[in-house]
Amino acid sequence: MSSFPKTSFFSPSRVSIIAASTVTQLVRMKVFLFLAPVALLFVALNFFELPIYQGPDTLVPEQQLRTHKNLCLGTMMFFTSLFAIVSVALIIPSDVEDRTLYTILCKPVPRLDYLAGKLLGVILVLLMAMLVMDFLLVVTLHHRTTSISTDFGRYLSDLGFQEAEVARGQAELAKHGPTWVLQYGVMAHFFKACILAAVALLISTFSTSTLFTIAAGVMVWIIGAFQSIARDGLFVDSFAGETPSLADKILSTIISLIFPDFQLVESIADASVRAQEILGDDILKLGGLTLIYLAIYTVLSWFVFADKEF
Amino acid sequence: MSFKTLRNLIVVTVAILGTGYLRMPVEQRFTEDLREKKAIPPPIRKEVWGQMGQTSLAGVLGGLRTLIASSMNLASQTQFEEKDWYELKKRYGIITALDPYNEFYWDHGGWHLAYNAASWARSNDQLSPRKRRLLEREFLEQGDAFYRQGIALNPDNPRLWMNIGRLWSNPHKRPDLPRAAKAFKEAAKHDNLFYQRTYLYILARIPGREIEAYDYAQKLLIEDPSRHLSRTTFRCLLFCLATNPNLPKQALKIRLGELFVSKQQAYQDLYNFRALSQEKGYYTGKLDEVLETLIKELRIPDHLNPFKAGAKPRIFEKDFEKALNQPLDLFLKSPFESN
Amino acid sequence: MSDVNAIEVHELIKDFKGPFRGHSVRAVDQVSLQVKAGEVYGLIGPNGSGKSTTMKAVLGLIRPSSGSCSIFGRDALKVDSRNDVGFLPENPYFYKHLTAAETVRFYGKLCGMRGQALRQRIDEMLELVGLGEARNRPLRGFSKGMLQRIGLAQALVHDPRLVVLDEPTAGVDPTGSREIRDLILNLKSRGITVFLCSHLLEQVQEICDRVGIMKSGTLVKEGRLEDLISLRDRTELILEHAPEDLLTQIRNLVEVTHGAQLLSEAHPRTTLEDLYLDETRDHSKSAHS
Repeated sequence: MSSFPKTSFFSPSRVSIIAASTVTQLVRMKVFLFLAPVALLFVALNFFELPIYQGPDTLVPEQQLRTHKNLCLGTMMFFTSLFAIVSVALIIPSDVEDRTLYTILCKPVPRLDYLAGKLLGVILVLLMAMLVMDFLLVVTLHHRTTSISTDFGRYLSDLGFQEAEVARGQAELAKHGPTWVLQYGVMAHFFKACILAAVALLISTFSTSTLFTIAAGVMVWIIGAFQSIARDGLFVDSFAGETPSLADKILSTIISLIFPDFQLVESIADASVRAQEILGDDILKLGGLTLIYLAIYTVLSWFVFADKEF
Repeated sequence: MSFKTLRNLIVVTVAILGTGYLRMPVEQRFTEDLREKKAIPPPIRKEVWGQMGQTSLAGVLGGLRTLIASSMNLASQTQFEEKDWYELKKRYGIITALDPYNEFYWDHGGWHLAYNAASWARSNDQLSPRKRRLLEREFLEQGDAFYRQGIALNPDNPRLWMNIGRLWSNPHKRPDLPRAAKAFKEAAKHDNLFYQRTYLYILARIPGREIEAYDYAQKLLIEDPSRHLSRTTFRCLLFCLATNPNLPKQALKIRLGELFVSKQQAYQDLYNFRALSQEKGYYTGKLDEVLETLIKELRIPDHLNPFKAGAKPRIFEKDFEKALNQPLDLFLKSPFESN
Repeated sequence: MSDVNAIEVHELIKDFKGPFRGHSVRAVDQVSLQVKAGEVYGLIGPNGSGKSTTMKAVLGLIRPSSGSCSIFGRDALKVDSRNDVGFLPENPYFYKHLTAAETVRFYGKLCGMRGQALRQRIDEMLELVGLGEARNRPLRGFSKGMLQRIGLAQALVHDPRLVVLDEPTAGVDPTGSREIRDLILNLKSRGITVFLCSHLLEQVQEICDRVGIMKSGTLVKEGRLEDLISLRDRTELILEHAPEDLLTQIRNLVEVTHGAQLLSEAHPRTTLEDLYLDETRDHSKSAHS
């Protein structure tokens, strides 16, 4: 006869079992195939040149690298955000429809563990995908930076600059290559994808359709991009040069309270593309905010899911 | 909707609003902090939103501001080829609103207006000469204004000041050297030797500001003698400024030997500087007298004499050595030794 | 056997909200039943009678509108109660991407099993259900019968005291069905309580100790199988070559008559199928006798 200790309300061990199963499920669904076109794009960017009309001045090499980074980070952000929403939107309803959920919930598995495990599994897959894309980004950007730097050095030497000045110019240019600052941008996009996954989790607990969950998740993604503009309407006397009306303020309040602020993520990512110095503090703050969002959405998801009948 | 569903909806909504209320000030502080660090751009103005196409709007709403800015910049090739300057200006207005801390866009937007559009206006046969001048002037001012907008958002960036300076010192446009000098002065505040020398050179081109130029040159010399003196133009200009008879009595006199290694070197550099000055308009002071003295001392042949017809436009070192065929007449002291 | 009932359902009511406002459907109405530890209990009834709802309430998958369910004395809604339960759903569906061994391992881990104990148990379960050779095959390639067997394996992996089976032999061929029947009897012999729903009355008759019949959400009949299917108003006297009117005389006579042998005296039996049909048929039709 079996005899078990009292089941704890939340067990990291159980969560990790469900997470591991989710990772296996997604990996064996060959979701990583989407990385193939991403890899092709990254490699293709190595051959990208700004149109000649832009002129051979000292800013063009920087802009080449910025464009490369923009395209890569934008691609990473797009794929991971969409993947986060879609995979969560599919996974839980499929467990319900296939009745796999019955057999899981008939084991001593609290519903919170189940939800947290599913979310953690998706986040782990996101992390793996991000790492692969980041590796590709670093490799292709390094190659590009080296090639542009060599051309730039030659250009400066032809202009009569001395060796020290050429070296200084190349060192300035290298700041726009694959540095740690760029990694902060990658991390920021990862945090955004995690938040979107948690949002999709909450929506899927009361949504009756996968399509609705995906559509709602995308709406949150979009509105989150300008949530801070709405918030500015509350904290700042004027925004965009105009004083907000009462209706604007009410709408701004609702948007600010409900939706996550993704501009924080975008700003850090954009700053990393500009090779602007970002403090580790800022990325830690963003990480902390991400954890808060994850906790809020997971607990609320559990609240809705706990009463669900199957 | 069942009671349970309604209850859940209310609880979730209240919880989100409640946690949002707690979270909002934290996010606002974070936002303001990032804004101070120039990580967050200023809000996009209403009229810019209205100017954006659907694709751009979708991209911006998806959080792809800088990517959309990059794409629009690349696509502006079309407006450039079609010479649609007003559309191009509008485009760069959007691009710089999306990515205001990227000086590349300010640089190119201003370049399109101040150079491409202005040149087009100047050479447009379909306009009357008066309209051409007015239109050219309009584009020049628009270019200047565009650079200044960029400077307002990127005050720590001297390159845009340099662009304004180059614009108003360009002899092929409508040069306004005092205006250029103001811009170069702003750039020179950023502690860059090149920008500092550029400011010096423009001062030396403005009649009546030669003494100011000399004082500034002395300041640069004190701050970093070896790196400034390594530049031929600087050495020659400093020498010429020092020959200004209107300098105050206490101004330091500079001998040739303090700036040049040998008389031959001095002659070669000053010869070339004279040619440059005729093009640029630098103050030359008593340069001609000094050259005449050196011509006699070194027995310079006619083809290397700037006062004779048929003289070479520029002297190169090997030609000079071959022409003179004499040992170097070294000055006793190296020009780079500090006093 | 333990004194605590394996399953205790007390006045269970479950209402489901209908599509229209104010209209609700009562799926289970005042059902009370007990399943003693170690016995095999069969819950039968027509489609829509409330069997699955009752089963889900026992498993804690749905919350009763009224009443209570408990498993070995623990509230069925509490997660703790599931430590002692193994469940095989109707038409079981598991993660297709997992192999047989991985599936059993996954569910074993969810029950808190680890390490060597789990590995051993996986091997035992796969052998028990006859899937030892298919352990490394992904479930997407499994037949219905194989899925049913893997379902049993995951239900039993943590050695539960109670096994709940929903249509365990549905869609399974006769051989597989026989094997599952034997397995259930094996569980019974080991003292494991089995609570099953099935439409295959012959099988239920073969293996169940007690049966409950549901109709329109209520438990219309419940009790020991023997008691339910025997006809008390009938007496069967098995005589060798003796007429009926001699019954009493025959008893006395048998006692005094030297040489005659009374082989058995019992009430005649109907079949469970007849009884089921009798109880669940509409009253307008005549009862089958």
